[in-house]
Amino acid sequence: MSRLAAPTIRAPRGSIHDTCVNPAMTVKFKDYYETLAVARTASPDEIKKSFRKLARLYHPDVAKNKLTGEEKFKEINEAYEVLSDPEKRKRYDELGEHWQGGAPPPPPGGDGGNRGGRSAQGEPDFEFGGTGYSDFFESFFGGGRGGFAGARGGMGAAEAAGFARRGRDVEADLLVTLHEALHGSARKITLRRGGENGAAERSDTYQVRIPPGVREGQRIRLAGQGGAGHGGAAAGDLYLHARFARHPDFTVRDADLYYDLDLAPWEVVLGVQVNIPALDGPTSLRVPPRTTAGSQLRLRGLGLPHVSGGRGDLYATVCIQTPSTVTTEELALWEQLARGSTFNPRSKS
Amino acid sequence: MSDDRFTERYFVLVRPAEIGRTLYSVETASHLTGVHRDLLQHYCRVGLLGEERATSEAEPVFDDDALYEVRRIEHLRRHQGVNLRALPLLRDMSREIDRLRAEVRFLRDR
Repeated sequence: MSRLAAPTIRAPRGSIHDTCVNPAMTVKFKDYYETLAVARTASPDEIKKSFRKLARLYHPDVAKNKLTGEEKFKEINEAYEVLSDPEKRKRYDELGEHWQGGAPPPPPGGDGGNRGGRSAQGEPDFEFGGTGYSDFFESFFGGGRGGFAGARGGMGAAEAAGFARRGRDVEADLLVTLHEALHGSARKITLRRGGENGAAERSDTYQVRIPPGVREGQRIRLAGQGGAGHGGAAAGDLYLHARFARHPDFTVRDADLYYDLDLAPWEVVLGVQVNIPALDGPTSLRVPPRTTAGSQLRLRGLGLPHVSGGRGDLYATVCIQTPSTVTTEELALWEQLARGSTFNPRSKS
Repeated sequence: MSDDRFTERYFVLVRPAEIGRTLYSVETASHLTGVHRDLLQHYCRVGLLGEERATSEAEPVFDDDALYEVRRIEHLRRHQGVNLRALPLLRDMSREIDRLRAEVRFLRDR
């Protein structure tokens, strides 16, 4: 039985004195509005548009320069994750108002738990690197999945009465691009932990294998890499939750991908052959004549891997776009069409 | 085939054909979670650990998600005072929240 990951470097970092440092104090406020280049008053639609524009430039699946794009994309994705959700955005705005000179207010109650190494019961903190999410995000917005937040706080700690108790489990989100979900990948994750039981603060690096076909929310377990056990008991585990990065072109529903296919009115009526993006590279799609707005054209097997094998589908949703400016000649043609057409979109018959 | 046969069977948590997942036997899962195998099998029977159900006679196998769920259930029982009868209710609510969150996310993204 192969382990998903094994520690590759085990480098003690800092000294016992460092254990007094509260890592929460080092969490830096992130200006998500600046990251997405939008105003604080931006509408949800403006935020979405700006995200898509920037993601197209920097998304590792799309960008030409993958190395410089990747870090930038992670920041954009994180910012969008917060600002696209009205509740998170509200919390973020309130957080910004109360953030004073690097002294963050305490994280929201209940949601903290072990996430991002938030300490419960005054235990040492954990800080992750390479997961694709900042400490700021993990501290205040991590753990977007369902379930009962309270269950996370100190989970696994104090399991047995007496002296021996198993170390607590630690969990963090792991950003996974759709390309990684399709092909799998290996990622380097660092975990810095404060001293436990008088041990020195240390930093570990793990090579984490993301299996092809990984699902949103799937957990990758690193055995024995959580909190240290007490009284000779085993250490807790480290759980990484796969979370799909938003893609500039596709939205995900289970194993299926959805793509908005923008077409001109005449293309929809007359039919057209177009090239559309897919995870495997651009693909050709024939839009049949008399296609109606909102129709979904299915490209079989171009989605994400299914749990049970095989792949989901890619759906192109037909969106009709109209020109914002028209030339005199075009206007004449539209007028000619308006005069001659019997089409009435408001007819109820 | 009588209905009784189904009640005697365990749910198979993970299809063996699945890709890229580490699977554990009930003994290994018991060792890793510190939960007795009989209790693990009870969790499986009442459907607490996964949605995939099969009619196979095979013993349940556990993946990392299932181990996580076991740890969470144990935490709920020991530290939050949740009893065995309330667990399926919590599971249903938790899954419904997950499903709704995914749907909202999808609709918002469009």
